[in-house]
Amino acid sequence: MKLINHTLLFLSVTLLLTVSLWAALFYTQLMTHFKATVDEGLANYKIVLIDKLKDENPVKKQNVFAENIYIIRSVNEDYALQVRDTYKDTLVYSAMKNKNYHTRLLTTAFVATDGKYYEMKVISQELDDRKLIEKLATSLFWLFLLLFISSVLVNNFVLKKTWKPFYELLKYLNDFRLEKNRLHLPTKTKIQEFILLNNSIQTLLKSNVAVYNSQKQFIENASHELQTPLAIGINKLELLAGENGLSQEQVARIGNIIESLQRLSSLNKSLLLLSKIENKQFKAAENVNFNEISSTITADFSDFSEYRKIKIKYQSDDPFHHCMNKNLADILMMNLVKNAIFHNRQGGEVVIHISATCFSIENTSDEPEMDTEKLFERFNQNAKSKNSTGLGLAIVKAISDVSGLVVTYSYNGRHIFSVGSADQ
Amino acid sequence: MKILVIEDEPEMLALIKQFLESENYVVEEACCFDSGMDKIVSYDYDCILLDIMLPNGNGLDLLQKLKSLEKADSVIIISAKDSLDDKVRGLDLGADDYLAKPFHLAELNARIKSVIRRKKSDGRKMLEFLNVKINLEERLVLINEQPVELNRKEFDILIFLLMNKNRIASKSAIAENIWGDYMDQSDDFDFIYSQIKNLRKKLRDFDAKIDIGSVYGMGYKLISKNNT
Repeated sequence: MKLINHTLLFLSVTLLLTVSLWAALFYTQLMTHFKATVDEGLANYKIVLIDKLKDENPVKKQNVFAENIYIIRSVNEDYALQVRDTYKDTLVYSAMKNKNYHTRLLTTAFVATDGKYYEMKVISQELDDRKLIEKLATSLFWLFLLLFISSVLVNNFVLKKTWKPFYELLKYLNDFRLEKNRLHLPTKTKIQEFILLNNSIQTLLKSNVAVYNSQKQFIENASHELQTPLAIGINKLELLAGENGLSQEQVARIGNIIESLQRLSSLNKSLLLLSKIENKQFKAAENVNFNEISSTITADFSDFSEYRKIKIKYQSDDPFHHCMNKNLADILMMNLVKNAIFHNRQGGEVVIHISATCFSIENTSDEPEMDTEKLFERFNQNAKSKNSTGLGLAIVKAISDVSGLVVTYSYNGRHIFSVGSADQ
Repeated sequence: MKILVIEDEPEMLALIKQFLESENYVVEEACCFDSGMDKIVSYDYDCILLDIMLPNGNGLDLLQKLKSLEKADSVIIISAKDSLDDKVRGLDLGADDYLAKPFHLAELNARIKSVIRRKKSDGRKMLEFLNVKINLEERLVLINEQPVELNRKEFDILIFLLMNKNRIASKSAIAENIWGDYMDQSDDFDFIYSQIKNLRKKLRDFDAKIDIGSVYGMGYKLISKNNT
């Protein structure tokens, strides 16, 4: 639930309760006042009636409220003396209207000039409280509606305006990527809470970016520092292997060690390449023709593929062009083609398909479908390929990310990697 | 042949020195910017191996100094920083070659030889070993004065092995030299074997006095049949 709707819900429930309570209070107040007025009228009327009736001799009895609005009966003195003027609500049957209706009833007693005692009941005009309630309810409904609409409007205008910095901050955090190092926060605000929030987030992000950078720096430095000792180790072993008097087996063992060091060295090179890509150290961009690249690379790999008896098929409807760094394009294509050959089966097939909007490289393989989620992560490799660095696809992903390309993987019995422009 | 090695890493320096001396070069060494500068200014060398990351200065400045003195020394930049910018700048400043660490000594050897050969364009375009003659310019191979047809890769492998004769050339060094930088990551160098096999067959067919020996687990080695 959005913040605006949340406050709106609370506000409208409170409004509804307040308005209803107010309506009840208003109704009772109004009714009390109204009855008091009616009672006053009855009292006046009573005096006029008694003045008129007390000289009649004898006073004419009246049993029902008919054309007159009073009834009179004679009572004994004791009863009459204890009668006080009382007002009460009552229902009176009207023969004319053929229904009962609400009215005020005044009960009183008086003594006529002939010394006889009478009790008299006077009723007022009809009290139509149902109609009153109806009227009240309708006007209250309109009042409530008006209040509700105005609170919606106020919410929308005021709250939206107030929370604008907050939503901007949210959007900023959503778009924030650690590796992109973009640190300036969105619009300035005058609201203290938001200033605090902005500041805390800025501090948090700054420290995160600092940690990220130092980690990255560490990997780069470590890789750099490793290069020289690795070179020394490999070269010393190469010299050692060339010395006379070593048995075949000893040379083979040295060869094994060199191989391991070489793997370490290529891992190192890949890590350095990755950090260079992520640091955007490949700046120069040009319009790259992937058809040319793919034919160069398939030619380069022809010995490798022939050795493994893998056929490379090449289909192109239209040339694929993309503006990016040429070296990165080479590396991207090379990694994908190399993967397609390396993870293939003996006598398998690699199909490179290029169209105007994208290119794809598919290969046959004995390996099952791969997990798309983890595929492009570093060092995510299946056990079979103990010789690979596990960085090839991470490099492909990194290159795509910095070059405005999107690389996707799919499987239909063959492994397919497609690369297309991110804009389309 | 006199070679100056400017390298700040003492172990690397000692290693390169040992290797080059075994190749019968005279090796001078400098381990920092200043001593490198002294030697460059004072002496002439056939080839200078220049590390561009030096304490107290950048190797590229040394290169600039060298060129401003109009010396003809060949320069091969060796760098742990495999950076394209440095490579381009170095070559622009007049370096003859660029080699990124880590490299194979066999590769270094081949580069030094070709740099020196290029400089001495005094008819030494022919590489000769026993009954095999190679014209590098025309990419022509003669065995017993008979031309032999080799494809590009076979030719390059033969040159590489010949330049490193009596040494083992590892499979990855060969792959890197012939197939290019990125092939060293192809993890499986057995594909080299088919080219080697063809080359070996051609050498035998023409009764060459050299042969390519396999060193199990390592790579290949050019051997002369006179010894065997």
